[in-house]
Amino acid sequence: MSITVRVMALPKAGNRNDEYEDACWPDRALTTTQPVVHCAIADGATESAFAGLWARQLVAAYGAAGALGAEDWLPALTLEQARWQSQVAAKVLPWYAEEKARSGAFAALLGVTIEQEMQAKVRPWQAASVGDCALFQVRRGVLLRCFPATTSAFFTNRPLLLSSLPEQNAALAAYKCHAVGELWPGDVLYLTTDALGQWFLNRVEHGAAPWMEMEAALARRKRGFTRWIAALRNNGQLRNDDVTLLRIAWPEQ
Amino acid sequence: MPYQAEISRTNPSCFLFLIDQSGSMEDPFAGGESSRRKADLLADAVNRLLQNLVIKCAKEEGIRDYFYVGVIGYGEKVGPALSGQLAGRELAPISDIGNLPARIEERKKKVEDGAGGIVEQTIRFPIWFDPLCHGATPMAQAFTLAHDVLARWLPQHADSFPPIVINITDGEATDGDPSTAADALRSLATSDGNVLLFNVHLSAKGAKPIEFPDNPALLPDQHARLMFDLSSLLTPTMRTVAQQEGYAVSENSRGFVFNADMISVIKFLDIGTRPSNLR
Repeated sequence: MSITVRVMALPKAGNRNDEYEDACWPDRALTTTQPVVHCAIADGATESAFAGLWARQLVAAYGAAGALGAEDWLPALTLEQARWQSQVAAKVLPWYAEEKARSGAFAALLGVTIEQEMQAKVRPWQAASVGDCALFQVRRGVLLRCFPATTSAFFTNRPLLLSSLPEQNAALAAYKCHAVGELWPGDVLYLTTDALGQWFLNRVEHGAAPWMEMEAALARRKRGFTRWIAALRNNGQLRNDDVTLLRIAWPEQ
Repeated sequence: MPYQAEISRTNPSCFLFLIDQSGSMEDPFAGGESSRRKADLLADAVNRLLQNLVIKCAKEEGIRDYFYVGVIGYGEKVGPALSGQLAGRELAPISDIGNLPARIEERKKKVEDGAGGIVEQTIRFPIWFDPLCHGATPMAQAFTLAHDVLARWLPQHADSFPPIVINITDGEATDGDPSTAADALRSLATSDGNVLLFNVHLSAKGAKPIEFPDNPALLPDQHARLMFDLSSLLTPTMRTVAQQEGYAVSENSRGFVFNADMISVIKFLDIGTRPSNLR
């Protein structure tokens, strides 16, 4: 069986769809037989301008080749930074947007690359992360892996993020995390942005199985998922923020 | 828990600045720039505060109205003190503030070049407020006017993050003890907590800057101690962010600075993710 990817993306309550500043790759559901599958999720920071553009650039760059996840990732990052700067510099901006853009855009990025040899019994994955996106792996109804966050306290409103300006990234190498693992038939990887990741780990800390709740919501398609997120926000369980979820599965025969 | 309300366009908060425009602001400042008048430094401080507040709310598509903003001057008169098209307005949405400065000047700013060096950039510096220093220091009247302005704003924003009043002064009220008027101002509240009154004390005395103190005994004179007493405690979230920013604060730290600015308070407010490496 081939790897399948499902995508859910919702803006912060009160924001318009065009104010959504998360991004993911792929950006729509697919089933793929590609020998190497790149998936990524990014979260543009509210307190920076052109953060959605930066987040979309980062996931597209990761999705195209995974170079942003490699050990030697600086050339790929430098290329994206230059692209962001040239796109923003081409715009005529009011004084406040010009000043805000001068500080750069910021985003969290988490990418996972899965090797998919169709006859193999397991499919190895490797992930890289900067900031507060999250990866969870579930196998046979059990939470197997959390990366990079392992507790809900990991999530604050002041994470260290990838900047579109090199000078804002001085300490970044120390904050880039890597992980490796294996997909077995039936396994699911969930990639989330921070609000949903924080909710997930908080539920785990209370003895719940949040992946079951997510699966139930995903089964109700986009409208049901949207209602579920709205209910979590309304009862205070989920911080009001953009929500993005990638569900990557290797279905059993 | 108070001071937890989300600041958003549907639930905005409010900043009200009270600016000492008395004759004593003509005196030179002692905090390292002794050739400049306190009134000039105060005008710069107000314009920087407004600029930082606008930039905090700015996105590529425009300015999001997370705050209403007002500026009240007190000296020869007590009343709204913004210049240009905003003259006479008690409170305006932050988008109006950003889009309607009285004028925009060009200034030089030194920034890192990303390769270990420093380069000078020309930046646009909006001006909303010009220096003025004439008359007495009717601080109690200013607190009373602030009370009246916010009492009109609060009924439409009953669940908002409470308004923050920032009073910038040399600390020598001439219309009596302002404590009663300050108490009345701080007693106003939303469902999320009481109005926060923070004070910036600019002194002609050669004392070093003090930020968010927790002990009035360490302050240099009785004027500073009075302004400390009038100031609200920092909220728990503000204390947490202040500590992350490197300030030595405790549970008793107040929203008071002496011979320093209060731009950091804008960073303390949560409107969404703020990268820790944003400088």
